[in-house]
Amino acid sequence: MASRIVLLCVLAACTRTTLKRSAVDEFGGGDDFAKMDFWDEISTHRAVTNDDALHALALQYSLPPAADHDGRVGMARTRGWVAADAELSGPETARAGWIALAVCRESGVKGGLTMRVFGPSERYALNELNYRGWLPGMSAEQALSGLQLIALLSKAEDAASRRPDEPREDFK
Amino acid sequence: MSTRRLGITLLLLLSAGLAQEGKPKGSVARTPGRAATPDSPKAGGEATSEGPKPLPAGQTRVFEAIVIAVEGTAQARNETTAEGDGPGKGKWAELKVNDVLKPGTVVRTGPKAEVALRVGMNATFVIYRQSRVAIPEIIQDGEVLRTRVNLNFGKADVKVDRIGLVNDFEVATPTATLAVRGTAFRIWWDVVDGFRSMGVPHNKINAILVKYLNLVEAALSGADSSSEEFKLPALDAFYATYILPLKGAVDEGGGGDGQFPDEGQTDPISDTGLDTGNAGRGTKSTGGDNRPPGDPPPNGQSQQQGGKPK
Repeated sequence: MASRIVLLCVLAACTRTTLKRSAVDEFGGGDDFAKMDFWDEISTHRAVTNDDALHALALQYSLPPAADHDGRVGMARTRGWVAADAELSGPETARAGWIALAVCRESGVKGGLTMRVFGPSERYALNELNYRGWLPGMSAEQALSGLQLIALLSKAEDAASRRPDEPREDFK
Repeated sequence: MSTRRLGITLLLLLSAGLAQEGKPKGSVARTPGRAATPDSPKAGGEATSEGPKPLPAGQTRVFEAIVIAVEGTAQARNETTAEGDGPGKGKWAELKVNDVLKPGTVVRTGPKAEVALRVGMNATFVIYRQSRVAIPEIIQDGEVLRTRVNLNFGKADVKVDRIGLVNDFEVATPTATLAVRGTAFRIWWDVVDGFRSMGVPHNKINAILVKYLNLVEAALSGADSSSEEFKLPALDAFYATYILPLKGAVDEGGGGDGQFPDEGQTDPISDTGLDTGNAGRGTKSTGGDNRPPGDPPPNGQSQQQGGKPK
């Protein structure tokens, strides 16, 4: 009996949390007010779903936001954020791994020697963002809260904007 | 009317240039909220060269913030009004230059956005990307200028000027509160790093102010409350406070050729006491007033408006 309980706990721990709703379901509109309402909404979420993360990345990098989940996943595949055959369930919590890869690709973060030699992958992208302090101490399977996602995207924007008073990163 | 406005504007710009050339030594260009320096000469009338005065004990005056620059998506709403989305919350509105924000306003910015605010008499605020900032209080209480700003998350530059009153300026974040007496700094708050701050590049804020002054605010003199003929507060203050002092300079012995003020008296840019950052609306200063000619002066105020000292 005890072994069954342990097995059940292990299996349950391996599944990702599914949330009841995504912010993009309510605030997925294309006007500025809907976009800002979306940011406000996810800032209150303890975890962002795949749909929310995809929509947030599209807004941050000025990509045309997709109308539905399939469109968002298609965009992620096209831009190399996830593998071409990857499946992302909309209401599941987003993994830090693919978000890190997406941020590195869109912000032009080239990473260190290994990432440059073997190309960007979730593991190396996350290690790079760990190193930069954008996602400190996170592993690829962890979920991000809304404020963590906003902080990550803000740091990427600061670094990419190359303001003269900011610490510089070399994106070459 | 529009032709008249255009003509008046051109006249003022021309007169500003002439007055600048003939400006006496020792005069200084004044920015909003900056107190008069000891060497700055008295401007036209009794109005303008005096710095902000303390209010009598127990009296308070509420100030506002004016938007002086916007880039990207920035929105605001007042959380103390009971209209719009729900109790105690107004509707979000896009911010644009010259918008006037009352205390209780919350500002939110999107990615790649920046918005600069002149807050009350003594502060300039630049809010950067992905920030949520609330300004619950901007008041003068006696000799104290009290301002409270809440940075819920994001990044902002703050510059607090010393203008002769006591600054009581506080910026609160979820984990730390800064009290400022008169300095400038940059502040961040996010869930990854928590609270951070550093010295701020003054030049950037100064450049924003100068740009705004050149565009609009140079024309806003420290004068009585405007007539609110125009919906845009800056234009309102511009037309309400600027024209009559020039007329006064002519009609009341200002001399000259009937178009331009005398040298060193009503320099529209440097000597008319740019007073607050809220475009003159709702504030009371002792500048040239906007009474029609012939009206009695309020509260024993001198009738002299930019004419030669008699």
